[in-house]
Amino acid sequence: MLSATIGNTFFCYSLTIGVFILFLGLGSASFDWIPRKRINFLNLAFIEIIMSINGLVGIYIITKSSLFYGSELFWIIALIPTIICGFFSGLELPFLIGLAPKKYLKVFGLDYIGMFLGAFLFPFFFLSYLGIFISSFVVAFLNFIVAIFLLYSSKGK
Amino acid sequence: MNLFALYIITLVSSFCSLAYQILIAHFLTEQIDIYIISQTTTFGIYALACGLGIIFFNQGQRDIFKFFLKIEIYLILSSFIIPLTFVLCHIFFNIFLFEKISQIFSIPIYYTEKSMLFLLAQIGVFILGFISGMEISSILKIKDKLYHSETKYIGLIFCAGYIGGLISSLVVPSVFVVHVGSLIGFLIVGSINLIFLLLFFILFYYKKWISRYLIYYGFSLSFFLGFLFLMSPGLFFKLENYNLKVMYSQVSVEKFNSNSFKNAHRMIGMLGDVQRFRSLYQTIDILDANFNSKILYFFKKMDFKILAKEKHPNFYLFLNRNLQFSSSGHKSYHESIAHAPINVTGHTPKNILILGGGDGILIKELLRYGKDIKITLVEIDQKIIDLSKNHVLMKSLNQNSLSSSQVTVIIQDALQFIKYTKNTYDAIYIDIPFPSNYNFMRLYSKEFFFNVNRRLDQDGFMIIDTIKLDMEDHKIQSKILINTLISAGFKKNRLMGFGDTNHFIIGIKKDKKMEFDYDNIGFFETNTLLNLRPVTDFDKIPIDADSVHSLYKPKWFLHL
Repeated sequence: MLSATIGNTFFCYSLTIGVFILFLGLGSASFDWIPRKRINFLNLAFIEIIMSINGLVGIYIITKSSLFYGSELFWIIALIPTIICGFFSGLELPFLIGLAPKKYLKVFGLDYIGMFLGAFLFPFFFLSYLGIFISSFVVAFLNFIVAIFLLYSSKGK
Repeated sequence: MNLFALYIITLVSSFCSLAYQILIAHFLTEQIDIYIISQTTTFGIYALACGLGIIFFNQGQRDIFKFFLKIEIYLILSSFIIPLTFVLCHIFFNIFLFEKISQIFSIPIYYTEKSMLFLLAQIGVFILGFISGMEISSILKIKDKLYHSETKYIGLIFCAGYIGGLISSLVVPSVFVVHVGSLIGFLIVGSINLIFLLLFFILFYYKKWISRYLIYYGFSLSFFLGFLFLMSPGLFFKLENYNLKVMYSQVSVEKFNSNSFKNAHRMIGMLGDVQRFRSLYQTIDILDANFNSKILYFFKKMDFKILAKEKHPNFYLFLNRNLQFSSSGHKSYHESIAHAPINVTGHTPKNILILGGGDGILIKELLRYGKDIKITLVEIDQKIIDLSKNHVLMKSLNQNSLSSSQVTVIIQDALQFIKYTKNTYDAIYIDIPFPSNYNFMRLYSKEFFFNVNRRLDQDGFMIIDTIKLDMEDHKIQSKILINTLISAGFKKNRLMGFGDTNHFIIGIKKDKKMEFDYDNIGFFETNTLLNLRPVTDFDKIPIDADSVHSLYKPKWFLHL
């Protein structure tokens, strides 16, 4: 969700955001094909871990992808982390709702409030104090903490 | 059929509500030109309001369809009323309030204007966001009711919502904002929303045509249609131009009564139209000779003291509401940037690169050095090139320099060009607007200057127009700029700042004493000479790696 907040009219950003949202959509649509019994905390933790690894490796891939600038390969490589991030973020939200069907409007509302925090914290705090690389590590770490928390709670059940 | 209808409804409503947010953000940016804060805050407040709307959604609705229709009506109503209120408040505040508030708190008038507009827009976007949140909840509840399950098809509904958002984030900034402007954009999106409401009626209520809902909402609907008719685009265009005139002339009155308002209205009526051109990258406003001297008042307030001394203004060119040049100031600006580095370094370049500067006036100045110089102009915005080639006023200013055979025009992002070009140049002129938005900020970065330095010949120079190099008032900005230049490889003793009304920094690659040769003033006219005043206290700026502005770790050039 964080990367969606630095929206811009430029083609590069439009492309990134476009691809991101497209895969958000595909991710959430694919939720409907997941068997009900697979929807549990463990699998959500798995999604979180993938996202955190993607956050760590993605920035590195994007930086290195400029080596291929000028060929189609550049865009394909540069967009892979965005695609992964979009797909799993899209999957994440219906997953959460699937875990708490009775309170889903609360979950959904909190998701938006998280977006609000992202919109403010990302440009004014993360980018200017930490820079893109460290921000990416911090956000990936946050994802990782969520994953650990989920693993812990799934164990409890 | 019902599921498909629900997808379409989700898609359209997500398109519309995100479009409202984007349009408000753009409208605000157009008015106050603090891009990053406008965009992020507007989006943040919108998301917050959406979240709150969803959380506070009353789950005990008896008739969810009726509730949804009500929400839609509120949304459409606010989509027309909010931008209209925004513009009318802007006009009203400009005439009656801004000056008085500024006097009470003794702050500059544009601070008052910017903060009040900012506040208004945030209130507007909060209302729209809150209603949108309710709308999303209603759609989900309708789905639950139709399929008796909370989780069934939820992924697909979200998917439709995301796709609507995707279309909105691509279409609104590149089509609506560029071609019709954000105000008319509201009208279009509002109409799409209205048509979609009709669609909803037909799809879900076609069996109950003569139900009491139809009578109840039919009345509201005809009210909207009448409203829409009144708000015809012509009126919106007029209103927009009126707003622009008020903004640029800053007509304000002392007394708060209808008579003084009538006078102000008459005065605004006397002003010529503001010519507004839009592109993907900026809004270009041209105030020509018809826009009369009331504008001087504006400059007095904006603290443009030198300009305000001019008796007969002819024209002004604004990019994103920032003054680029005026008939009186452009000579001093363009002569300074073109000839000062040549005077200081004693080196007349043959192979010149200009980054930005699509107005062509800098080229006109440089072409005076003879037939054997070659100029490459890199400009991101095709629109400004077209204007410079075709607009009567611009053509007379740049003497059609862009059509010269010595000039090559490349439409590309300067950051990209300088990174990937293989050529080197013996002069690089950087003539770009103040880093008020993210796109311009990229051009003040360490990475950009590093590449400029790399593409410069050993004897070459680069010059950049910059913020006021005032070590007191603009201390932070000057510190960031100088530190960024140093980190990009320009040594402190190879940088020289100068300026009076306009400020510039010259950078060279070899150690060489840099000072003005006042005996050999070349192409300078008398007025420009005032501008050739070196800024000597660079040494006071501490070297600080934390003040370097980089693409990967941006430092905001805040100038609220």
